[in-house]
Amino acid sequence: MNITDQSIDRNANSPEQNTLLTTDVPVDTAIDIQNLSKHYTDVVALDNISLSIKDKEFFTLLGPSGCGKTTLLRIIAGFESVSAGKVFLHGKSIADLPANKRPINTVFQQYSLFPHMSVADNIKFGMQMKGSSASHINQRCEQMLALVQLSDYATRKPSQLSGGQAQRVALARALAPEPEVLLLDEPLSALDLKLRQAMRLELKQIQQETGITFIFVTHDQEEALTMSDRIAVMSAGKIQQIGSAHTIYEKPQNRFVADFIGETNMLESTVTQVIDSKGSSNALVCELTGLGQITASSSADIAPGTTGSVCIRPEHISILETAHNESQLKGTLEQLVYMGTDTQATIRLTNGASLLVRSPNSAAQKITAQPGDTVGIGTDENAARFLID
Amino acid sequence: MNRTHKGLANNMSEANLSIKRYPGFFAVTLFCLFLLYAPLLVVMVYSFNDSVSITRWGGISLRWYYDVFNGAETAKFKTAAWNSISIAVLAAISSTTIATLAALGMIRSARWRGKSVSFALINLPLMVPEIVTAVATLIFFSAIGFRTGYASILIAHIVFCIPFAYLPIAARMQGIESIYEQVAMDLYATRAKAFTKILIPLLMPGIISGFLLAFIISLDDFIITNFVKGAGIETLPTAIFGAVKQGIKPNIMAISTLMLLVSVLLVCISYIVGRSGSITPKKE
Repeated sequence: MNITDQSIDRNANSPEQNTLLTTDVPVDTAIDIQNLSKHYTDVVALDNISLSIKDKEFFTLLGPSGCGKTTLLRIIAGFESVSAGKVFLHGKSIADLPANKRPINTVFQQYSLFPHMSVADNIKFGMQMKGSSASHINQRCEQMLALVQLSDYATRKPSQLSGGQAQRVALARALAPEPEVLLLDEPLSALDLKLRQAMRLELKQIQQETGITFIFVTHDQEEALTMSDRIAVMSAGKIQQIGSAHTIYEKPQNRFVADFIGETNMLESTVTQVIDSKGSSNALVCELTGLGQITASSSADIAPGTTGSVCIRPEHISILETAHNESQLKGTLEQLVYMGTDTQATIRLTNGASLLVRSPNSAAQKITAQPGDTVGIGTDENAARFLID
Repeated sequence: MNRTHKGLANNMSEANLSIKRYPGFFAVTLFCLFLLYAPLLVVMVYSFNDSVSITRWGGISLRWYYDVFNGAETAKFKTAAWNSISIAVLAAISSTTIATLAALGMIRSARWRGKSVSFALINLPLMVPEIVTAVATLIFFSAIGFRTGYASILIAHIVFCIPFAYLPIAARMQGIESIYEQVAMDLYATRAKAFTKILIPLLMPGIISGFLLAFIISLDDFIITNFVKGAGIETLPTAIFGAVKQGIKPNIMAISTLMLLVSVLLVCISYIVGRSGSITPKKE
């Protein structure tokens, strides 16, 4: 089994877990966004976005910087007004509610703990402003400190905390007033790698324990893939695709998604035949320009003659010994790079395009060909995906 | 000291260019310090003089300090001191409040028409010659028929203290990221609560610093006060000036030394408070 495959399998479980969570509770929509647009004087930050986020879901907005994900988050939080469209929280329109009247809290990128207050006072602040009773506030504060494992730090000042601890206090502070939705604006980006990886699991666990809807904003695809129930990939103010980590990675809807998430190979091609058309999953035969034919899948209805790209993930390609292969795809092995768990190979195809291959360093799948050898290329079943340009 | 070759070269050229290496640097420094502080030193030393003369040394004593509090002119100076202090406190409170609100408008707001002009207008009084302000204020009061006295002094003081209070408050507010108020409002605080619970505490060193600066400026103002005070009321500086016109008695030196002490003390507090309370959280 390939490392990448394992991670995909784990992610593939997420939607099922989600279904388990919501079978006994009626499926409910926490946030519903309809035809939302946001314009600044001469920039369109969000362009007619519609999406709905389920109750108790870990939902991620993923995209490069400037794609509008933070603007969308700030609109949900109440810090930005909308130019057009509607935002609903559990069925009620919140577009006109100011930030302090929305039962939505945010974990900010730089934590922004109040420097003049102790850890406990920071956590209590939201509940005090909400007007909760003193006994409830104290009890809830202790509960939150325990949740983020900082019970011994109640009296510390934020300046006496490490980055990871400050991050956890910011999380506890936002969770303490029991918001209906928690927004997280790249909360892990200021931490170092090891801490970031540990916090991912912790965040996911806390989300499941508290049962609060999380909306997480990040530009880090790995973060998005490991934590989310569903991901919305955004670019240029538009949503490119919404789906589980597995769907986003294995069945990208367009070139942007295929390119942005993980590594991929794009090969120019033309559809020659539609084998099977079932609405959302169509099987096609594609002519790879100058190479030969391949079967590919597509989520859109496509007519023969359409041009586009076939996208294949590097780990779904295998290198075959030329001696016993009847594959139509051939190329010259140019480079082998040993990367620990796997080996990365670059193949120059007969049409001049270059192909990236990732092969695990297990005894069974080890690449035996040497640079300069002519090799055949095999692809896993259903690995090729046709995307319209 | 930087030990790398490049660093060493940089240090050397910096050291060569340093003003410290100019001939006579030390002598000029001493001369300047002497010019600045010698008069003050003379006044301070002679305030402890045990002689009726202000130039002849007659040994150390505290008789003139005793005279300040129990002498023939005590009543006059006491009233003047009370006027000065009460005006300074009221002027400092008012101007600090106004300056805080001005800073809020200048720094915690989106761009608005006339923002940069307003910035210049707030700070311009610092550059206008005081005598011009004094004459203008007097003409203004008489033009509108405002009776000169305690109130006219207070109003004039509030006005000219505003830019002094504004500077440290604005500097402090600039250093406080607006994200803290956003966080507070995200956590159900109203705009007013975010201001009183978050911004004001974070701003406090700047406010105290601005308050003390305004207090000092008001306490020792002479020119404007002298113009707008009218007859029958004195502040400490105008009372001292009045006394000096009839010949300098050593008790003036004792009063001056006491005022100097108060000023130095407040400026030091202002400086220390202004620097304290780092507001940037530690980052890893």
